[in-house]
This record gives sequence, C-alpha cells and structure tokens, in this order.
Amino acid sequence: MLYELLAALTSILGARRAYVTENYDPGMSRTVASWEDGEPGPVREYALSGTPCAAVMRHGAQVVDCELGSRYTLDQSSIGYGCESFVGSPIVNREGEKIGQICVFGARPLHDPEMASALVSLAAVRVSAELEHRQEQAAVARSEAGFRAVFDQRLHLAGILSVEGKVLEANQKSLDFAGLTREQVAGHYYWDTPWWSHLPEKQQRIHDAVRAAAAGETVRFEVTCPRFDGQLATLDFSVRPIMDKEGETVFLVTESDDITERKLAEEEARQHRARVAHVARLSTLGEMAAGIAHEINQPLTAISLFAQAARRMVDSGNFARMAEVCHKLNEHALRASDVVERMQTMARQGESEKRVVDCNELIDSAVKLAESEARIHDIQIEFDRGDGLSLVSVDGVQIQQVALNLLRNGMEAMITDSGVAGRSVAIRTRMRDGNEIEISVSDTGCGIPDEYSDKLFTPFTTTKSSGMGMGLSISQAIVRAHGGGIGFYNNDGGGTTFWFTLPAAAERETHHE
Amino acid sequence: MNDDQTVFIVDDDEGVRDGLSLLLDTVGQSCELYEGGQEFLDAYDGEKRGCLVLDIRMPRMTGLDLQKILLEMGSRVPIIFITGHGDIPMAVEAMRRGALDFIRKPFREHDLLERINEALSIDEDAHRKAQDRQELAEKLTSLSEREREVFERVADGHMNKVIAGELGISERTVEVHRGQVMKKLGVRTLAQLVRAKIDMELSTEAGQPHDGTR
Repeated sequence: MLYELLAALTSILGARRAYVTENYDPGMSRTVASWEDGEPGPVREYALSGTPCAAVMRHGAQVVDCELGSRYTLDQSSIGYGCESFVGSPIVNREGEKIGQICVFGARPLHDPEMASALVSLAAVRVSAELEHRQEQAAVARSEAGFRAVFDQRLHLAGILSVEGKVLEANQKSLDFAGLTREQVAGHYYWDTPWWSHLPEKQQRIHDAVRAAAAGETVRFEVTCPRFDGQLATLDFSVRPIMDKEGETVFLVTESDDITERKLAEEEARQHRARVAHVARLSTLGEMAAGIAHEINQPLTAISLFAQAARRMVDSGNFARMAEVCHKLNEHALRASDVVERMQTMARQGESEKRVVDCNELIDSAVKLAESEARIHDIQIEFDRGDGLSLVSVDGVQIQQVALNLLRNGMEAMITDSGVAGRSVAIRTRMRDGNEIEISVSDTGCGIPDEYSDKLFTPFTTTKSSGMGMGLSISQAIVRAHGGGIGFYNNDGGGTTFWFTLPAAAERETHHE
Repeated sequence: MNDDQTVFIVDDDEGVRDGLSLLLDTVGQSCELYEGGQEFLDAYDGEKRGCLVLDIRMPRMTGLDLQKILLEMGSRVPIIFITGHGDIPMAVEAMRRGALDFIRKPFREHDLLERINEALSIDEDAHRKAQDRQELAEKLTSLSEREREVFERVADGHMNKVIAGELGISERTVEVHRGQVMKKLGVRTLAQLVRAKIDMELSTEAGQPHDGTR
C-alpha cells in the first residue's frame, strides 16, 4: 500500500524520491518504505540533524520549492542528495505524537508548492492510519511470541482448554513429558488426548475435573501418569477456570507439576525417619532391659510359687483351692505376656499404619512400659487422664515412643538429682484449643540449664552421662511428621515440663460409638 | 513350723504376696501380708514373734529403708530379703546391716522354706534367751543387798573365807547367804551360779535388751 502511495506521489509531483520514515531513536530515523527513480529503494537510516526532515519533526509540514542543497548545507545524510525541492509532512498517531514523516524530494523546482504540500499532508494522514495498524499487528505478534516463550518455558506442564474441554494450547514441557506433538493434542478433548487415553481409570477423573472447572471450580489432586520413557510419574494436577470481566468462564487452564522426585525424597525421608526411630526404640529397650526383666520376673515368681503350692496340695490330696490356683497361674502368665507384648510392639520394625485411636490408651501403654524402670528407681508415675479427648490419627508405636522418651527423660532428671523419697513424674493429656491434644510430662528434677535450651532438640545433644542424645530429636521428628508441635518449659517450682501436641483426627475419620 | 510365730511378708507385688502366702499355707505356716514398708510399720507389734520376708525393691520405702527403721527401733526380727536380677549390690548392703539372708526371685520352695525355718528358729532362740534373761533378772531383783554381794563374789570364784573377810561377816553367814542365793536363783551347782552371773553381765553389757548393735 505504501509503495503505491509513494509511486503516485512522485508521479503527480514529478519528483525523484519519496519516503515514509519512522523515528526509532531520539534524533534517528529510518525509512519504512522508499520510492526512488521509479522503483522501491533501500532502507535508509539517518540522523535527522541538519536535514529538512528535522524541520518537519520540529515545526510540522515544510515545503522547499527550490535550491534545497544550498539551504541545508549541514545535511550529512544521502536522503535528498542532489535534489532541488522538498515537501514533508509529519505522521501523527492517535495520541498526537509525531512518529515519522512522509517526504518527497524533487529534481526540479516545484510549480505549485501549496498543492504539493496539501497532497503530501493528505498522504500523511493515510499513512498514519496504515502505520498504526502495522504497529498494532507487530505488538500483537510480539505479545504472542512472548506468551509462547513464557508458556513453553514454564516449569509446569500447562495447557489451555476451551470450556468444552478441547485443547487449545499445550506448552512444550507438557508435550515433552509424554513425547507428543502439538498436533496430537490440539483440538482434542483433553481426556481423550494421548496423555490420558491409555489410562481409562484416570480418564473419568480428568473428565470430571474438567467439567467441574468449567462450572467455576478449581480442582487439584495428585495423579500418577507414565512419562515418555514409560516411567511412572506423580503429578500434582490442577485445572481452573479463567473468567472474563463478566465472570463468564472463557478458558480452562490445566497445570501439572511433576512431583515424582519430591515424592521419592519424601518417601526416603519417611523411611529414614522410621529406621532411626526404630534404632532409637531398640536402644531405649536395651537401656530399659533391667526394668523389663524385673517386670517379667514378678509374674514368673508368682507363677512359680503357685505351682509349688499346687504340687504340695496335690501331694496332700487337698484339691479344694486348686481351681483358684489354676486361675491365678493363668492370670500371672498373661501378665508376663503383656509385658513381652508391649516390648515387642516397641521393638517392631518400620512404621505401623496410622490409626484413629484414643490418646489415653496409647499413653497408658507407654506409662506401663516406663513403670518397669520407674520401680527400679523408686519413682512414681502419675497419669492424669484428660476427659473428652478427641481421637487422634497416629502411628501408635511412634507416639508411645515419644511419650516413653519424655517419661524416661523426666525420670533421669530426678535420678541424677539427690535421692529424695516420694519422687514422681506426672504425665497428663488435655484438649488444647479444641482441635489438638496436648500431652505433657512434668518432673521435679534439676531443670534444663539455659545453655542447653537452644540445642535440646538437635541430635547428639545430651545432658546425661549415658545415652546418645537422640531421644528428643527423634521425638521432634515424629511429632512434626504427625503435624504436631513439641517444646518444654522449666516449672516455677523446679523441674521441667515437656509437651507435645497432636492434631485431633478429622471428624470423618473418627468413629463414634 | 511354729504356731505362735508369724512370717511377715512385705512385697509391693500382689502376685508374689499371694503366691508366698499360699505356699506357706500349704505347710501350715501362718503369715501376714503387707504391700509396703509403711503398712508393715503401722501394724507392727514388737511383741509378735516371727520373721520378715522383705522385698528389697519397693516404691516409696525400699526394703533397705525398712530394715534401717527396724534397727533404729531396736527390733531384732530376722530379715530374709527377696531380690531380683541386678539387686546384688543392695543385697550385699542388706547383709552388711545384719540381714539373715537373701533369696532371689523366682524362689525354689526348698530354699525359701529352709530360710524361713532358719529365721524362725533364730527368732525362737532369741526369744528363749530373752525370756531366760528376763527370768534371771527377775530372780536377781529378789536378792537382798547382802545376798547380791555374796552372789557376785562367789560367782567370781572367791573363797567363803575371803568373802567373809571382805564383807566383815562370819564365814557361816556367808554360807547361809550363798544357800539362799542358790535357792532364789534356782541353781544347784556352783557352775550354774557362775553361768547366771555371766548371763547377767551380758545383758547389762548389752544395755537395752534390744538395741540392734552387733
């Protein structure tokens, strides 16, 4: 279009050259279209300074009817080289800015400078509209390129769907993930694309999610999906609606994070924690061996006494109390087996499943284990059971381990203390803020010296002569993995209270009797 | 086993108490059960005879604590300690303080009953001796001043003549007093008289009849 215009202008005005120029840097201009001696000319870039074009930019339309060369002696550009006349008019955009100009150079003086000026000004208006249209198009192209670049380089696997669920766009990452080309997915229903089409059981879920998003919901879940190399990946998948100003859903955006690595790392950390916890439990049991042996020896002693008495009864033909004796034999055998059972539970490897349980029952079991040791050191354990506790969803063995650690710490704090009679450790369970359960263990021992309080929960910190200093760091890891907190404070009246919290099990998880 | 002797069992474990009492029951030995040292002390009657079967490890008051209190009270009741695994240092301490013996859980009835019999016979013996001393002391108080002076000198082996000289009385009077002393103390020979003197000295040396020193 511009060339036709310039060709017509040169022909009407009998000129040699005509240009449409744009300013690209301050003081610099270049030709957008040029017409020289009857054909399209090269792109010329030039400094405005000293040229008639500079006057156009400063003062508006200019006409030089003859002797151009002698008027613009400082013109270093080749733009009007060897020409006699000049007509120029600024090109003004909608905002009123001069963005360039249209200029015509003639080889001879102008016959009718006014008519020439009017013609060129008219052409400038037309060119202005054309340039603006071109700039808009360029801006759109730039923005599209930018979008594509951003879209493709996202860390997420991303896609844009129509409200019906057809794939409009998919970024490179999402295509690379499954080894697909854009053509394989564009225009297809998202759930029918090769990402999901070979996973019938997932297809329905994806379909439902897309429909929910179309209805205005954001849906997010974890889903496993094979990668291009056949390896199973875990995706953190989401689909959400994009709405226009009126709140109408216009697109759906799918985003997936490949969280396979993170899941593996988490799983590894979990297993590691379980292993460390297990080793710690075993070492705790080892330290408690004397107490546990005593605990088992008691019922064995009773059994042995009953059995010897029974033999004497049989010898003397007195069977009157035999039933009672047998009952007691059984009772004490079961008592011994309870101790063994508790010990075995603690010695069990790995993680048990999370179960919804009554916190008081868990703590009771830990207290019984700790009592075997308490008896040896002449310490009483007082268990203050909270009423109306919510149930908790926990790995029971691990929580017992935490309680046992805290109980043993409390006892040890008092053993190192002078051997005063009537020592006791109190453990209590309480509801806190209605949504978590607090378990606290208070001793009347020596308290925690300030210099230890900062690093108490770091591994291998110990104030004791024996032990590895792992108990509290493991307890902390266990409690945090359960979504709870752990801490301590020195009591006003001496001694220390350690506490930990467990979130109440969600209502739907709890079973009501 | 003895009818008027009681085995006092102090153990915090109900099963062990139960089993011990049943076993003693089958051999016709009466016993009393206490679940702790304080409970025993609350019911303790120093006049009651028997022996103590005492758990060394108990909450609140340990067996050693109770032993110490009993010694301070001057009780000489024989104590057999019940010990478990790893209680040897405590058992040694208990023996050092005069415990009769210790038996480890679980017990062999032979060992247990033998120890208890031994303890009861020691108690019986001690009781008899105490009774004898008591009788002697009573007899001694029945002696007159002069008779006592004569008794001590005769028992120390002095001749009648020498005693008469020392006391400024006739030899014949010494003989009369001497006959009176033997009659009052219920002895027939000089040897028995000497023995009574030794017993008397032993019980005065010991000061209190029950003081717990060894």
